[in-house]
Amino acid sequence: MKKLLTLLFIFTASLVKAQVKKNTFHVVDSATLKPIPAVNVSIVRAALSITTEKDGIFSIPGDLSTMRDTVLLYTQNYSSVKMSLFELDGLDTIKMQKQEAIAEAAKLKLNNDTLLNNYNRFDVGNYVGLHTGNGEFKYLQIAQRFETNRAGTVLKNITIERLAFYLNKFKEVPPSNKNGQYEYTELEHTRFKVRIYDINPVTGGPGKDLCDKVIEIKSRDDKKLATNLTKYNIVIPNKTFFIAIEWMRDYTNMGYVHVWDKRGGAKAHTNYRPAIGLAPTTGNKLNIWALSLNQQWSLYTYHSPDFTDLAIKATVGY
Amino acid sequence: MINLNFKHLIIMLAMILPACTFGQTVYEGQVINAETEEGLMYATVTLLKTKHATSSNYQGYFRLIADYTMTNDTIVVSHVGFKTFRLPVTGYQPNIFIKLEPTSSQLAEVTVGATKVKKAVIEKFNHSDVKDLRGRAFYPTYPYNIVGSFAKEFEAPVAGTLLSVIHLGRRAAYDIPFSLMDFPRTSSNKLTRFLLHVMTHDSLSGAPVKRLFTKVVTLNDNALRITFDLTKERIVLPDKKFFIAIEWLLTPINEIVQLDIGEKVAGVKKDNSTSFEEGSRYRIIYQPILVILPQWNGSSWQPRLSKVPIWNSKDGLKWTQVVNAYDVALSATLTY
Repeated sequence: MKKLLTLLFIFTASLVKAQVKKNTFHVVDSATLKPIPAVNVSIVRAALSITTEKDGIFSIPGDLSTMRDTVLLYTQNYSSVKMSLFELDGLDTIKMQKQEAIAEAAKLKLNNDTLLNNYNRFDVGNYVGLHTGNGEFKYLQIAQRFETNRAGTVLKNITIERLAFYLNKFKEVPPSNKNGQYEYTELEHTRFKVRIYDINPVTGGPGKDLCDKVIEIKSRDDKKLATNLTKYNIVIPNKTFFIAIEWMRDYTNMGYVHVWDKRGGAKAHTNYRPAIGLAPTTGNKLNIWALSLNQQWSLYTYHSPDFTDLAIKATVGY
Repeated sequence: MINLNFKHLIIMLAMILPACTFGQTVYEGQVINAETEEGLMYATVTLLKTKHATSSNYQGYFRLIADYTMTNDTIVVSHVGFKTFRLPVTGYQPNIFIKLEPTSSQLAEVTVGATKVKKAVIEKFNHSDVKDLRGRAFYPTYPYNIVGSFAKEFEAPVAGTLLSVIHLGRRAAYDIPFSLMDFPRTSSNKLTRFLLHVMTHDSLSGAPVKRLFTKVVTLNDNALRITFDLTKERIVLPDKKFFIAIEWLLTPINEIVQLDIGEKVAGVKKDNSTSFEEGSRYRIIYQPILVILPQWNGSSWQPRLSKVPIWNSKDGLKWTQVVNAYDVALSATLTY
């Protein structure tokens, strides 16, 4: 198991020298002192962000006492932690406080289904999460707003379209085979979390979590990711709710995107897979929201007005 | 008796199922008039056995999405005034052109309708030139990475002609495999928006100068041969020489993701050194992807060099003539 994850990616990896101090931190539950897995760690002004592995360990190289940036830690079901980098100097553990669990709703008898945000998957050709024009895509989550015609429905299943290509792979075979290896193809791997939010009545964007269970989707064999959520019994209290993709900003999902700029040159940006499809049907209202590195939700306008919705379908029962 | 019926049912299912493939299948292409090569609107396209049906749009383009397909099914294409065309689904090729032969009565009508107006098609190309031939061993598109504008020179028989129709060959995004049997290396995106310009010719420099006409074009299908009917625009060409230009727009709607393979960071080791592995990289390219006309050199397909001047521009103002430019599928129909 990889034991540490550094905040310095490829662009700064070459600057890391043996003599630079490495500050390692353990993110733990404040009550149990057990490691918290998959914590997002963002350094706000430097616009760097990673997700820790299961052991909740991350490290920041350099002299922290001289750093003036802000570090922000967040993960599902815990209160966010915001600190100045110099405050981390001398620490090796960061405690996060668990939020109150969401009260389990009574199981409802569902007689009818409604499919929301329907589209034809063959018409999905544009994707979000790659870049933002000339800049890197620096968002932690992307959310689709859904509207039902009644409150109190139950979210039964969701379908998400992602961008994925088949890759040629080679596998070694036993020495008895003269060829030594064979070639096969497989779809790009990815894993990410799904978050379900109530509406924030002030901003109109995503608000409180409606599910405190971690919904992690791992996919290897399809671009269309259909997930049955019935077992979570997610009751939607209002007519509006949000389904969000939370990227796991780890090395498995990390990749590069080359984008042409208006002067005819190409720039390489880091991105995290999967890129999420845009629904081919255009509505009269933008329903896509994005969560920035400093954890602010805002409408995501890069693809509008041509695209107003993500290629995420949801079925609710009532 | 019941057992016998059940057995019959099983036998029937066993006979039917092998001919049935589940999962959605897409059949798409263009229905064209075999005589004129123009797209035929409102042609009915039906899968005979499963009864899935659709009709063609103004470019003659159709897209039939079948929830399941019988392997012994037949695509039937019909249109009033044309002979019905039948094609077994096993003979379907992606983005197929289907030529409908006019019935005799239709031909007679065309003859009666002839007028004294002269028509000239400059730089004509046919559907076979833009057909999706995945085995063609050359990169079948105009380079989209010029990120600017491209202009092709035309010469009319006389000055003062009317530009009535423009034809353009466009390559659908998923049609760029590395080899015949390879998987697609681009995302598929049928949407594109670009600017179509008609420009005057500078007699001194030979470059495009003034815009006579500009149209914002939005395409939302995978038609390979696009027809722009400009009759209503009354575009009068003052000189014999003129240009038709395409201007790319760097907007999200035009984005296609192209797959590239390269080294990526796999992780950071305990000693702080970085480990690498081979992985996918994405490259954003912009539509439209124009078709370069092919030529057969006796052993393989090669891109054809243009006989007329081709110009490029980054900003639409300063133009540079391209040396040994490839011939792009772009034609002009003039009336005079």
